[in-house]
Amino acid sequence: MEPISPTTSESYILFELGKTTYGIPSRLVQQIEIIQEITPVPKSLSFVEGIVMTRGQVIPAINLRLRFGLEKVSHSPRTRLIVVNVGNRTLGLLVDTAREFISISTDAIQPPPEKLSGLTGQYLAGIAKLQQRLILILDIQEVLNMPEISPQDSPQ
Amino acid sequence: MAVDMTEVRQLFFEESFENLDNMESNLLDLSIGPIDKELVNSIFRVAHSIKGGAGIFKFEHIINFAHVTETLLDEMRKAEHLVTQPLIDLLLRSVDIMRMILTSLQEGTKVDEQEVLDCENQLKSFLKTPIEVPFLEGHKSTSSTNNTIIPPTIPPIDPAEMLIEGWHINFKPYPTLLATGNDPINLFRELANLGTLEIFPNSQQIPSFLALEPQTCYLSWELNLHGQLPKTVVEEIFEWVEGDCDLEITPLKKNLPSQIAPNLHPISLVPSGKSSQREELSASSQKLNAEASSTSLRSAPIQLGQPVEIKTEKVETETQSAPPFTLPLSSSMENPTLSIEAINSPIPSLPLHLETLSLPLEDPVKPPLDSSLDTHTHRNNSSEATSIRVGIDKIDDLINIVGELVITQSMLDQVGEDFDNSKLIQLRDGLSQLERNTRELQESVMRVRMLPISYSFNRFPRLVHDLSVQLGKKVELKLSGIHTELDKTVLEKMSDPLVHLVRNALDHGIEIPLQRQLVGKSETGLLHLHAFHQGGNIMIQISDDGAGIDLEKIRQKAIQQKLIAPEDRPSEEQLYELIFQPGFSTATQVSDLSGRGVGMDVVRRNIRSLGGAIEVQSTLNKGTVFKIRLPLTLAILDGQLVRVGQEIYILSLLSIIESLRIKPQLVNLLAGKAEVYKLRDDYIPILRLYDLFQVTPGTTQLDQGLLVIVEGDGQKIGLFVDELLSQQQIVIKSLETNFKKIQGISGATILGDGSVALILDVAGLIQLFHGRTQITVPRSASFTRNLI
Repeated sequence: MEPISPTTSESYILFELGKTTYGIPSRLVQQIEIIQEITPVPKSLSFVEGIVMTRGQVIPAINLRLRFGLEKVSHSPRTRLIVVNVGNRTLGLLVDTAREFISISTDAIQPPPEKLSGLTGQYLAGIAKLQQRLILILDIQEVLNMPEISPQDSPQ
Repeated sequence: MAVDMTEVRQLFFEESFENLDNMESNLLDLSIGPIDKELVNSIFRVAHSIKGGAGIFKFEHIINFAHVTETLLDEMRKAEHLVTQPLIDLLLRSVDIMRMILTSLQEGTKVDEQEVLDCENQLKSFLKTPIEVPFLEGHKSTSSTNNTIIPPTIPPIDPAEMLIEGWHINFKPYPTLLATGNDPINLFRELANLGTLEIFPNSQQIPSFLALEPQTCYLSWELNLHGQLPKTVVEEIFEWVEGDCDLEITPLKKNLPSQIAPNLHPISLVPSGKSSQREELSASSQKLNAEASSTSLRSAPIQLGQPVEIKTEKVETETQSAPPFTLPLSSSMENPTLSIEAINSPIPSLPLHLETLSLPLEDPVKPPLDSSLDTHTHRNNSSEATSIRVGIDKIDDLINIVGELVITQSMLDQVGEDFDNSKLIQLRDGLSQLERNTRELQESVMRVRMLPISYSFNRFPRLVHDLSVQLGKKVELKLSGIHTELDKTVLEKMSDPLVHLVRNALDHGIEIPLQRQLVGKSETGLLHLHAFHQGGNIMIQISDDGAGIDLEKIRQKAIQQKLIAPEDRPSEEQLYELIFQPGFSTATQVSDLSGRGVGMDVVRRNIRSLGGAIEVQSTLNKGTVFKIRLPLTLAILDGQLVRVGQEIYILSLLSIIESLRIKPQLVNLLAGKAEVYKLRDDYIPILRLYDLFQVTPGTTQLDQGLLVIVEGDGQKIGLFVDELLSQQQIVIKSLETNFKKIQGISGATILGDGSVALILDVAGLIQLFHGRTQITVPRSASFTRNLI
């Protein structure tokens, strides 16, 4: 994580899961797609919904609802796939909807409260308050840091 | 003038290895007896160019060693030696040594000096003319930074030339000389090693500084070489620049110096001393700076101990920045006018600057002279970057196709601009043209990765030569279809299996001459490597006319190892299959060649990992043929699309044996849970794909779907699917890049409709199946029969 300095701001992509708004730094986002078809992959964890092809690469589509232990909902026309580049990998995140692109100054982001534990807690990089809204900033590296979806025999 | 030395180094290594390969094959072509002059000449040239190349990088080991080899070859060239087997063997060994030294240099590891010295001494023992000791010094003190330049051996002097005082050389390089990579300073250094050398540079052609092209050679030289030398020695030094210069070598008369134009000032070149170069370097660099700032510059005859390195520093600055002279002449900064004068006047030392343009030594204090240090800094680069040589025709093809693609694109663009139904035909034409272009482009790009199999085959003459000597057998090796091309990766991975098969053929296949005579065959055995295309595959056949595989022996051995029961009557096919089982060997004794832990099972596994297959045919006392079938490329496979429920999976066509509609009466339940299907004499386990992958199938009724019999890792299994769809070429995409490896899945691909389909890995599926049922897939029919 970059050191937090008071004067800078960063742009974020906002998306929703249930009634909660989450944000991820836009520099990690390659594109946002309307989902077409997801090919299920046998023998994988429930939150890996399958694989999709994007820009000539096969990427896993991770259902963030399931990843966060929320209930599964069927895809709607508003469902989006956010393609992120994390580390050397490209992955897709399935979210309820993703519509906003905003700039949040680092002042507005507070560290997550100590008390907030549980599954979602450890994946938060901070909480941003903007007017009446509360935006949970995801630590996407942490969210996707799962041995279950990493190459076992990494070629490099 | 920043030449990327890493790249040049890499090129040197690649070229040298290639040259050594050529040298090796030429050596193997040498026949015993009188010298084939043409052949020896080409071998000699290899040694010579390796020595020359190594000289640029100051790789002492290789310079010294190549020099000794070269000397021996030179003697052969002059027909002073007869070709004998020991001589060929020794030269072959010297090829190995050079390869070893080069590999060490490339990887930055230490050279096995003992081995080098050992071979070098052997080479010397063959020499008629002894070589002077000085060369050895390079070996003894690798840590020292001195760059001993090897004086060429001096052949006996022609009596007619005894009276000659020396040689006057008029050396007028063409302006393009430097561009060819030749550097006069190296020539002069070599000359200086022969005797006292006087150099008179002619700098009249140098244009004003602004018009100066750093890559053009404006200079010419007149040289006086004092010493009783044969003319050929002098000529040999200029061998490399022949065709790039006007050269005149005339005997030197005592009054000659006066003939030289009076405005030329001599520079004497003293062979480099052995003292620490760096100290001297900076010392003389200061000296030069001081001299440059004085007005005496124009006329001062400069005595330089280390001319090269100093000059280089200056060259760097001269060529890098436009008003450069202030930089090298740091001591004269206070007096700028002087610097300008220095630019306009042809400085006697300037010629030498220009000569050294090709030496990109950037920092005079820390030049990359120390070869060991150099090797370390570049090690990573050189071992990682592999390159591929691509024929210009293939590149031209690509350019043509890309050109067509652009045309098609602009045509479609036009159609789309104001589209209406009348343009439908145009659109369709454009799209079909696009399809054709794409396919051609794909094929051409694939071709770029293709290399002729000769890259792999070429090592075998040597291998066969060495092995047959070792085993006391006579073997003739025949290579055919060496221009058959296959993917570089496939080629590299096939290398070890091929070596193993060739070793096997020599070790177990071809008999010793006596035994061959006994069975009425010619003493010399034949080993034939044949590569060819067959139906979209590459076939490689390794056949020998040796003893063949004794099936009875295999059967006995199999019974002994409890692989089959004594009462079993396995088919020929099944017995051959046993050869590929791990730990199975019929060799009565483990020789040096076999039993190294690389068995036929590994050979087959390697071939299978490439998506290929191997089979064997043998006739007792007639010989054995191994047939290897390989896909043309790894990135594309011929796939069969199968449907299970809503999902589409892809099977490699190579793995499919047959597909059939299931007759329910032929399905048996094994141990109450595993289904097997009786196919002729075989029992094939049935794997219901929908069950394994947990998808909703179109049907669970066996008789309503299809059974696709596939083979992987030598085992057959029947995959139960809903239906077979089309067959098509599949571009393989890795799952591991962004995701992870999934057992039973070898990758994914995009189908025509844009959806992603998984490519099934049969061997992995079989393993998965084992894990689920805990029942091994039977290896032979008899085993199954006993169970039922």
